[in-house]
Amino acid sequence: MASNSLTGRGRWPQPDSFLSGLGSELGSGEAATGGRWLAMMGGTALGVIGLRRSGWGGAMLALGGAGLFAVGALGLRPLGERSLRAVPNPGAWRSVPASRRRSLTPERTQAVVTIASEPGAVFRFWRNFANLPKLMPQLERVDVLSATESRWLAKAASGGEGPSWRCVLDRVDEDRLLTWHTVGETALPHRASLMLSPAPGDRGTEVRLTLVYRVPATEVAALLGVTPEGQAEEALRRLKQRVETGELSTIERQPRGNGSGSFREATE
Amino acid sequence: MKALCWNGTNDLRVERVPDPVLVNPHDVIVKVALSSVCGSDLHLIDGYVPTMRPGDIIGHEFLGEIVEKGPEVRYLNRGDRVITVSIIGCGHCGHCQHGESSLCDNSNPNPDYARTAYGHCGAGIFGYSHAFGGYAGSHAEYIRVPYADFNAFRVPEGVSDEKAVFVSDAVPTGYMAADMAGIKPGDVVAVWGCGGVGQMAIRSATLLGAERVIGIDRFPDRLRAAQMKVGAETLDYSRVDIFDALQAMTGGRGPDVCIDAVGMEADSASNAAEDLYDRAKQAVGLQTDRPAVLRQMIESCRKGGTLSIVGVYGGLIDKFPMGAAMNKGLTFRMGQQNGQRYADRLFEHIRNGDLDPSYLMTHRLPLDEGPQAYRMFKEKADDCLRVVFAPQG
Repeated sequence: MASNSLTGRGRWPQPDSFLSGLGSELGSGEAATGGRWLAMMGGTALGVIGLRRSGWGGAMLALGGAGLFAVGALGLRPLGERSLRAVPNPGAWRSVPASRRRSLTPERTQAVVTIASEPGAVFRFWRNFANLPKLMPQLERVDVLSATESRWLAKAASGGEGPSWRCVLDRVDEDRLLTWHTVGETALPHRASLMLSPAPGDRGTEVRLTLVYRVPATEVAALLGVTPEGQAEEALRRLKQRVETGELSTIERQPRGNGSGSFREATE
Repeated sequence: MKALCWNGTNDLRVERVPDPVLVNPHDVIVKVALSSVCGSDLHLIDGYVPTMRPGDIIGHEFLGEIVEKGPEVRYLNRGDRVITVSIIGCGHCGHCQHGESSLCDNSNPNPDYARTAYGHCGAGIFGYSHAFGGYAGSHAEYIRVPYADFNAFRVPEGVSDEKAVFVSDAVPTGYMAADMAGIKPGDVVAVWGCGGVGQMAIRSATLLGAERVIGIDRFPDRLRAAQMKVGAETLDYSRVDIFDALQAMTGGRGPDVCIDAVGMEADSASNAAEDLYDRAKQAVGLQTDRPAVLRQMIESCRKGGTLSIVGVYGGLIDKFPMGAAMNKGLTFRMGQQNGQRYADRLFEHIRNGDLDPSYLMTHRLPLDEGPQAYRMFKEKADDCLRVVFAPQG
């Protein structure tokens, strides 16, 4: 059931003709891979030199070499704060939020989730755009204007009126694909797609949400209060919960003590 | 209502908190009659599990009466006497449907911590830190139970509260340890840790066909209980070399199945250097868990045998003998308990007399004595196996 994760992080890019070539995924990823090979080769060299010398100096060199090799092989940052995530996965750089990658706009974000349901139920829920504020808490409401047009109003990230935009549906391929894009003046021009495909072995439906903003992720975050990555993952998490269970798990309004001390974060 | 709250490392306080309310349509509110301490609470109290917030109510093994139910709850009613499985499933995702409810996709409302640390997020757990959902625990007069139809089980007639309460956690955890090890008739099973879960694993291994079960601990009262109550042969790891003793007892083969009912705070009384190494690395954050039991299991287990792990681990461990595990062809099975899968079967075992977990309740105290009770449980003073609180007095 490996594919039955909550929202994935788009580590498994799929063929996507509609959006192919829009997002730039080069840059830091390849640089990082190059750096890792350098570290591994340098580490090996140091290790060999160290082993051929005798005494403490040699031992220290060998140890340093081994360390450098490990840094390269594991993809660790030598002073890395996220070592838990440092897996030897050449695709792992994709999981870095778009906002931290140096890339050209438009920026492309994809999240994926497997939902234990027929595609029909998932598609119907999303197809009615008036439902989307239930999946994206940053939206105030979506007004469906016609069969293909809708008006979206977001909540203001910092008081006042939030950004709004008009969307037009491009493609509606029943139970398989939905694509839409903004038209006219808006601070957040973007296009998006929802792709559905059957998961293998009766595991339900794989659902991919792709968002392509024509402004940097930082700007999206400033206006919506959430990065495109966060928006896509949260929307799919809520979609899965609503379709599978009919509710959203929550700990809102539950009792707790006064607790005067500070919150211990997971990163401590 | 009254509740026992975590306020910092080794700082528990009984506080006045608001009563829980129904939030979702599948919720029920349970008036808690009995709520047990559990060994895994000690990891929270000792500060080894991050993402605890001061004010969090702990406790996850409980029995009580349903006093309110949401509009979508179908199979339960007000007045029902129920236990609730400590690990929450939604009942609908692929994992819940396949009996792996501890891997539930939907019950953890704060999935980001676990996804960052583990790659994927598991189920929410009552009173067990915000990485596991941040749900309020059961050491309180009332508790909200989400997805109640899936997580709460009516206690059958003729099964007393004292026998039933442990079907919430200790019994299914021990049973799952034995069940997932695939015990076959004639197998020799060794169980590290003779606390409540370890003793239930011992009894379950016998129920599932084990020829002999060996319990390992160093506290005389636990070893005595493992021997007298669930029929184990016992080894005191502070007195004998466990590897040598196990080989001697199994004709040099080693146990067919090794069960870890200890987890992240294992000590290694027989090897002071190893213990010091593990504690030092844990103290400075170079590893989160102490793997003394895992190392001993890998070394002792017979070639081709199975390791079954229900002791709780949190993060990363060091000096893990992977070479031995691989070359000996060992199978690893592990996980948090999937109690929803076992509850009915376990009540049946209790009803027909195969299983009586009530003796684990060595102390029954009011909630007001929570802080002292946990101290006693932690220090294993007064032959304490489990303290069970009666929050209604």
